[in-house]
Amino acid sequence: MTAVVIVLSLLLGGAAVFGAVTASRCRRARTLASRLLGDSGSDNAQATLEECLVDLGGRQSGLVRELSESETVRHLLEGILSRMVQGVMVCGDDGRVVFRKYQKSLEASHHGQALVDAAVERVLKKVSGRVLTKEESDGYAVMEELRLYGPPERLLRISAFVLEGGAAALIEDCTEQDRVEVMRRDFVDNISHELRTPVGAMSLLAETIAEEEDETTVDVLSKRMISEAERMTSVIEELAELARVENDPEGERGSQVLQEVVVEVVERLTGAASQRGIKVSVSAPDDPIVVLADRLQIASAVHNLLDNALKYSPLGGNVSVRVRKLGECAQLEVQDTGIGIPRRDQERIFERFYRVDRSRTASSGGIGLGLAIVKHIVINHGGEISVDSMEGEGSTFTLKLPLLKEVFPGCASEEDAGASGRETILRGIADDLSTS
Amino acid sequence: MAESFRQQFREELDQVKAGIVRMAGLVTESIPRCTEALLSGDLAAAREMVEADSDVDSASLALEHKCHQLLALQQPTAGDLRELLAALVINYEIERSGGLVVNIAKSMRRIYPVELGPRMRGVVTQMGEESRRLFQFAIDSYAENNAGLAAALDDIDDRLDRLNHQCLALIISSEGTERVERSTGIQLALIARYYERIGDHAVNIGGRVRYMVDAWRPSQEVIEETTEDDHVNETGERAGE
Repeated sequence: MTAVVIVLSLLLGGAAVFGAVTASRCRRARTLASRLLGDSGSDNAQATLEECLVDLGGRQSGLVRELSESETVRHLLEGILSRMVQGVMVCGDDGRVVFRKYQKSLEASHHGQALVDAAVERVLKKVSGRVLTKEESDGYAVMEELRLYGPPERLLRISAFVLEGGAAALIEDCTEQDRVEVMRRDFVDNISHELRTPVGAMSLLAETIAEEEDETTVDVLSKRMISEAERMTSVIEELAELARVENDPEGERGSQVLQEVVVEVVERLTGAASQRGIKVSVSAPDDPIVVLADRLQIASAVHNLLDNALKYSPLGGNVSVRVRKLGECAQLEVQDTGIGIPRRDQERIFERFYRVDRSRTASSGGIGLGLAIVKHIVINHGGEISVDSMEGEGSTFTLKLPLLKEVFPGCASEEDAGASGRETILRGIADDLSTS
Repeated sequence: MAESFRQQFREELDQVKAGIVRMAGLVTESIPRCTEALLSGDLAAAREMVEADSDVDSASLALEHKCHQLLALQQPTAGDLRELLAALVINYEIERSGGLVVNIAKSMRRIYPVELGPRMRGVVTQMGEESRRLFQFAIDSYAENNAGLAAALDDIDDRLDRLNHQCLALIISSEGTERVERSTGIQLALIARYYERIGDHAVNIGGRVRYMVDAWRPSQEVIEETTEDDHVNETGERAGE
């Protein structure tokens, strides 16, 4: 009997202790739960552990969602940045790199990348090294231009500015911008020079004639005036031809046999060639190579190239003209063994008014429009033109035109075809001036 | 603990390599810049180049010191040791090449304002391009540990040697409108030699890269072969080729 009582009381006591411990744990859990839930708006001080866990779960999935969204945003920003700039580098206040992304084209060459890295470091140091006032730091930026010879030759602009918590550097490729700027400047210089020179000469001669009494002198001077006027006329004639080619790109298209055009042009220039003792050789297949073109325009283009070859070849030199089929295109090459074209000038000789060396070509009478005209004619016909040259050895001009076929795209790149235009000269000038 | 030492050492080696590539980049870029200044008679650019060489010199000294430090403090062995030894010599070759570019710039000033004829300009342009190309290949082979490319440099250099001879022949045989005056001719011959020497330094860098990667060293046969080539070249020059 007593044993039963003792066991029962022990059990009761154990149960009581257990109950008390559990109760205190529950109380602690509830306090914790209510503290955690405190800012979620629930003012139930008796929040259960269950509610608490559910809420925590909800917050976790919320965080995961936010993280993946910000990851998407980050990818988006990186994508946009890479379209706009060549490279980005961000570093924190302590100077450690936080983010770095360079485009592949920038990483292509070891030495190029090393130089860019050095420049980026320099600008970042300049920006973060200074102690800036609030006003200064808002707009403060440091810029450095880096000209790389590559190849390819590039002009990079590296700018750095202050960010909250650090600094960032951007690398932009300004090669194209710079090229257009130089082109524009030179074009304006050239065109004004071409017109000003003969007009100035004429007005000076006219003034002198007005004061002059002696008849023979007047005679000599007026002859000079006439030759200046002729020069101006030829300038205007060439400008007019350029305008014609640009305004009327179609011309009168018909099927032309390229070999016939070449033979015709060579015959026309036989006199000029023999005068300089230059031997002109033509090589072409017997099979006629046919293109859809305006006879006059194509002949004018070939004439221009051959005339240049003769002009810049040494006396007794050789000029060869080669016509052949290359894939879907007709290819015409004019090769000379003349003085060649300096590397610097090769990419620019097709620009309007561009001349390699004024002193060299002034006596030849050109004003630098010839090759621009040729280029327009070729592009209008859906073709392309290129030059390969080495100073002292000679130049080869290569002209490609699409063969006359039923269904066939032109063999020029899309860019060139788009650039050809129905622009008038004035609109062309305006375009050049406004592109920057 | 050992791991982090190893890692730190590796990082320092990488830093040395990056430093050398950066310095080489300055020289590689200076070669076409110099050729252009030479061909366009740009005195301002020539002066800039002469002054900018001090950057290369100070970088070279700093790198050399760093290499010495690493050798003394880290006592590397095997591949790492070869890497540091190669770096020391390559550092020197690059610094010398930078000096050669300065020499070209100074010679250009001595020629000024004489304008060169088209054939001479053509040869000079080609020499400038070839030497730059060769130097870039040498640096690429070092940066990429590319022993194959390094081994090819000697053959690629042949073209530059031929151009050098071509230039000398042009000077000797010049006449008429392309006639080269004696003092100009001497400077031009020196300029041609400077370009050719840059090529030689590039080939040497290639040799060190092969040493670094494969522990390759020129065998006695190769040394004799190269000396023979030099004799042939000299005879060729004397014969007026």
